[in-house]
Amino acid sequence: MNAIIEVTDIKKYFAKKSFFYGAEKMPVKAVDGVSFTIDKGKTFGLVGESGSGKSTIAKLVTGILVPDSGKMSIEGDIDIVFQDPFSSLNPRMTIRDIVGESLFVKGVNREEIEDKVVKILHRVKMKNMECLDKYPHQFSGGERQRIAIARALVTQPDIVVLDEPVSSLDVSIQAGILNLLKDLQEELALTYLFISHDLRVVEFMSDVVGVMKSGKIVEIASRQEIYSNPQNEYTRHLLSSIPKI
Amino acid sequence: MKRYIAKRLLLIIPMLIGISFIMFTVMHLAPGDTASIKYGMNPEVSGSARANFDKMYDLDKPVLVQYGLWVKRLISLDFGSSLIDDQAVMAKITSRLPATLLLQIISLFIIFLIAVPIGVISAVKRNSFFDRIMTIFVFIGYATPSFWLALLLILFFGFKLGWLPISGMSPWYTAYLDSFDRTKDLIAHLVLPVVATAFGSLAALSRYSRSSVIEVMNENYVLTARAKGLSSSRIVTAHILKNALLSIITIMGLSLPALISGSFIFETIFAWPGMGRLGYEAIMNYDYPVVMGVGVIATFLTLIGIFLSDIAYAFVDPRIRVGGEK
Repeated sequence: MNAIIEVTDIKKYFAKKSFFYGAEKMPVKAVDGVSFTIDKGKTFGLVGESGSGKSTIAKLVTGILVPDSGKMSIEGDIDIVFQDPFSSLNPRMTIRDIVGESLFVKGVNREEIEDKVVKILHRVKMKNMECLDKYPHQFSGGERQRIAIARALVTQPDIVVLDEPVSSLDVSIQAGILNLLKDLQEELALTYLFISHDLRVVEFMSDVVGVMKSGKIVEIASRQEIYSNPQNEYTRHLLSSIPKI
Repeated sequence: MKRYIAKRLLLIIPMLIGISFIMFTVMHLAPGDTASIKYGMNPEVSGSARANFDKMYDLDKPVLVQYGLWVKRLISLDFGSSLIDDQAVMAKITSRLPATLLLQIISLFIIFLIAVPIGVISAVKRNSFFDRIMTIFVFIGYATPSFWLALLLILFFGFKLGWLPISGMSPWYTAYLDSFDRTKDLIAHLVLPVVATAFGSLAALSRYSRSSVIEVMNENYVLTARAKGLSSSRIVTAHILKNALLSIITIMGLSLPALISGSFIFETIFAWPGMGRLGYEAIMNYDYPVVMGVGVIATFLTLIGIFLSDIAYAFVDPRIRVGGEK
């Protein structure tokens, strides 16, 4: 298979230093030897309870953090959508600047930025094109998350890391965003690393699922296998705790 | 926004009334009176003459009545005249205000220009050697009584080293200097008062800058900025500083009261011919109209300063300026 992301045995420990002595306390093993591959055009779902190291993996893969050890090979450009659309957009910037800034720093000229920003906002189904000169606080949570997605897609990345993209939204709005993400994946041939603590959302989105616990992946399998025939005891425990509706 | 501004402006009036009332009563609570300051050493002024003096200036009436009379005059912007030398209070203040404003505005600039970079560098390079040195400096700054520091400055730079003049703003020979030398001389006279005035606020503001930059650095949109692949210098200037500086500006407004009350102390120590020293001398002379005049002007300037910084803050924050529909 043509793997676009290949991560081998990466580790990230966080050491806490005290103010006066610089003495190291026990490090937190946020990511402790994780390996996985993601095939082009597919979605890899990463599931686990909070504190299991999911978000650290997102930051390592996108280069926000540097792993202590291990190997990562990523073919293509990568961008990220964060969990909370209320805090992930700079409150003092207009939507135009938020979405267009990454093009601006690459030296793209003004008209081209405007053109691309308008196109991508249209693509994430922001209905109102007047939104360009508005500020983030003037939008609802779902709209802001669409803006955050547009922000990530404007540079035309090959891979998008989605770090709990719907968990701060109302359930009624979640479906809209998830369907949008699926449509975009098809149209733009995107590869997703989809991170969530919500097993049902992961089931809806993913082709392959990895289950994380305390910095390690305890089980990786296709969606069908994980949900119908889980091998690991922790996976079974998680699945049994999905509330039945 | 307009309603907010109007409301804030109107609020200044009750504040002024309340503060002036407290000043008036406290001033009259102090033991002693104007007549004994003015004529106490003069054996030719009899007790009945002093009683006449009190009567002439309504000083024999109850404090509340006196306050009422004072407010009545103030409504027509009449601050009265000094009980000691009969000069109009307003004329006395306007002749002294420029010196105070010069000192305060320069101090404010110096505080801002030094404290903010210290705070920002400390925050960006948190726990570095620089940050720790500055932390120690800041705590020393907090703990040092600034009037004592002023005396040390005079002792060291004025007497031991003899580098700088220790008092006044312009000496008698100013008139004989050309404009370049006069400016140089004025700057030399400014150095010590400015250092003494700025020192305490410097510590407070740099500490505040540091914490507000750190606060912004932990915001998620800074993480977004990093995900955009921006250079760290752009993240610091375009995302962090822009957000952090605005809250720092507000704190500048709140530091005005400290600066104005500080002017009473430092202008007296450095014999600076400003409004603060005028107020101090008036208090010592029981010169009620002058004390009240200086107090009201100082209060007014402080309230206006706080008002302006509030408005500025609201204006630059789109969440307040641009009413959210949602």
